[in-house]
Amino acid sequence: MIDAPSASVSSRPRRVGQWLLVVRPLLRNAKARTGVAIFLFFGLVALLAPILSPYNPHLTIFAPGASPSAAHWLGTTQSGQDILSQMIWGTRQPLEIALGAGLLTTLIAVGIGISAGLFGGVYDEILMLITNIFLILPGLVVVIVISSYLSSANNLMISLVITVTSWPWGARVLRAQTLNLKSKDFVKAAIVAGEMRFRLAFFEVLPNMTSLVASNFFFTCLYAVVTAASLQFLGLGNINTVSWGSILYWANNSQALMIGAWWWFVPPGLAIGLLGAAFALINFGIDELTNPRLRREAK
Amino acid sequence: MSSSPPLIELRNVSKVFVNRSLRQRSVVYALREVSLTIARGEVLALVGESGSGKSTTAQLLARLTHPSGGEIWFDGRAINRQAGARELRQYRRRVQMIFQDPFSSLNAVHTVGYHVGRPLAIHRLVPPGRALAAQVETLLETVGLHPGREFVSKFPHQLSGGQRQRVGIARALAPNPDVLIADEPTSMLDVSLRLDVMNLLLDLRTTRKVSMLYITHDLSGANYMADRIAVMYRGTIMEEAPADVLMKDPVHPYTRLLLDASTADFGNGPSVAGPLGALDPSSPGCPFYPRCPSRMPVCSETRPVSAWIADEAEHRVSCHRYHDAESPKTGRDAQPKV
Ligand SMILES: Nc1ncnc2c1ncn2[C@@H]1O[C@H](COP(=O)(O)OP(=O)(O)O)[C@@H](O)[C@H]1O
Ligand SMILES: [Mg+2]
Repeated sequence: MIDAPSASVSSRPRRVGQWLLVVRPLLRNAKARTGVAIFLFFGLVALLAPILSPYNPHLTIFAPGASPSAAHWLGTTQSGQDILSQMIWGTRQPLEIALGAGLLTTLIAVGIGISAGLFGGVYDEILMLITNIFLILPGLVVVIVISSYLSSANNLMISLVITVTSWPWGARVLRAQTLNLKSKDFVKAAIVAGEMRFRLAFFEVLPNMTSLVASNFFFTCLYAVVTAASLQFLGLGNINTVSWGSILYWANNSQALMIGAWWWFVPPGLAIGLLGAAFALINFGIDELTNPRLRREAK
Repeated sequence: MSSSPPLIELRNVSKVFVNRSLRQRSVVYALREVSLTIARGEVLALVGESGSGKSTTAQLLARLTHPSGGEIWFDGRAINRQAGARELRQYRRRVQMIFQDPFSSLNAVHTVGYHVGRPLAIHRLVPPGRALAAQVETLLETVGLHPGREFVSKFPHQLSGGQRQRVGIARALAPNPDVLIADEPTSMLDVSLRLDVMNLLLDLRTTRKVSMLYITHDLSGANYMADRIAVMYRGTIMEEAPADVLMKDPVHPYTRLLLDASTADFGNGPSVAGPLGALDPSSPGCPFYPRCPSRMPVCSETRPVSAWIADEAEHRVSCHRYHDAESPKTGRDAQPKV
């Protein structure tokens, strides 16, 4: 980097300090801690799927439609697959889509929100016009329409489709906060010191809204988990991949509910709910940390 | 002082804020045809109560905003609104600002070292690395933060208000500027710390030969700091004179009121009357007319122009009582002739 001098003066203690500033109080918050624990649990399952999974989830060699037993803890599907193995491998897709959509959405929201707020003028007006147009699009409908054309969509494409409908919310919120910060003296002081636009946006404004950015990220993750599962349940996207959503789709397709095969549809439903709840809990935790009124009530 | 051209000059500078909301359009006349000069090495104090347009003047000089009318001259050249990045950067190296609120003028996520080191890095004044770190420590010690090394890695929330303001001063000093704009630098500090900061600024003025616009709402503070004092009321310069002259022989009724208020109560700012409401821009008279103890009928009808007082080289007043038939030189072309 060009600005090595300042980095050598201060950036190491700053980075450590900032991390402690954000992470430590978050982990002290009970809701956030629970959310992080659930998230880490699913993350581990996804990572260790090859070790944890008793069988190959695609194998159709078992007795079909069996109820839970010692060999198949969660029974088997109508076509003779081991449901536990499917559940374990199926952890990967929702996590990947959630994190992918969360990351993409947050990047776009940060880029557009901060630059529009900071630079103002015609630039701001054009960006906000585009943002508002995307905002009034009915999200789920758009996602369904786009994904009905993507029969072999991979996780990245599904993340992109979700991002199309989720970025405007964050962009608006971050723009509003940027406008608020822009009027603060420390931004004016940085301008007087000679900072250029890029540094103003990413070194002065952005570090002061980490909690907003983080909550935007986790909210998008929640939205993505639910949306991706809904899509697959509806048979959109690629239903031949193994994921919680596609397990639900095949369960529904085989009328698991009618025949009372709860071991087929309850676990994926529960898992989707739990992962969503994890993101929601982390978000509540961030809210409580940044909103003093909530913090007092929490004590 | 009139022998060499001023380093900074405001020529009939006006600033109008237009706030557009869905329902209405409000217009605030923050500055009206303000003319001021600051010579090299000179300290000019700008005094006025809250809302009179002092910060607006500071931000215009710091080029945080543009004038709506008039011109600002710096070092013999008019400031160009469409200036290129290079010209602007050069200006920022030479003109620095100290902000009023030490709590909001430092970024909570950056260390003291970052705040003070950035101007050095931006203007490439010191080679990166150890030399820059050493320069940052020197600057911190210059503003009285001993030992500098211990402050470098501190965050603003670990400092007191007085220490923060010193960091703000060190940051402003870092590029070794020719002009310091100090916008009420002591008003948010404990009374016990104010004199320290004022003395620090006076020291810097003598050691660094820096010119200063010292903004305050307190006349005695202005007298302590400045060579000349300009009194501002509702965006208009009411009176301007060398500090000792203004303190001894104030002629404008508003200055007199300020002086009475400040001798009665050091430091808490003038409480001449209630808060300043928005000025009706269409009112033709003197802005001080509604509160003036010695107003005349003419005062509500025409705005007094700024006129030099006869026999006094650098004493300027904007009042009908001192604006008589002997054709005073007015605003635009008025220059003190010695
Ligand atoms: N950005 C702005 N938008 C609208 N009005 C403003 C703005 N900044 C200042 N003003 C108005 O201009 C006048 C002068 O303000 P200011 O320069 O801050 O005064 P002072 O620093 O002397 O207290 C006030 O009436 C204030 O409300
Ligand atoms: Mg002010």
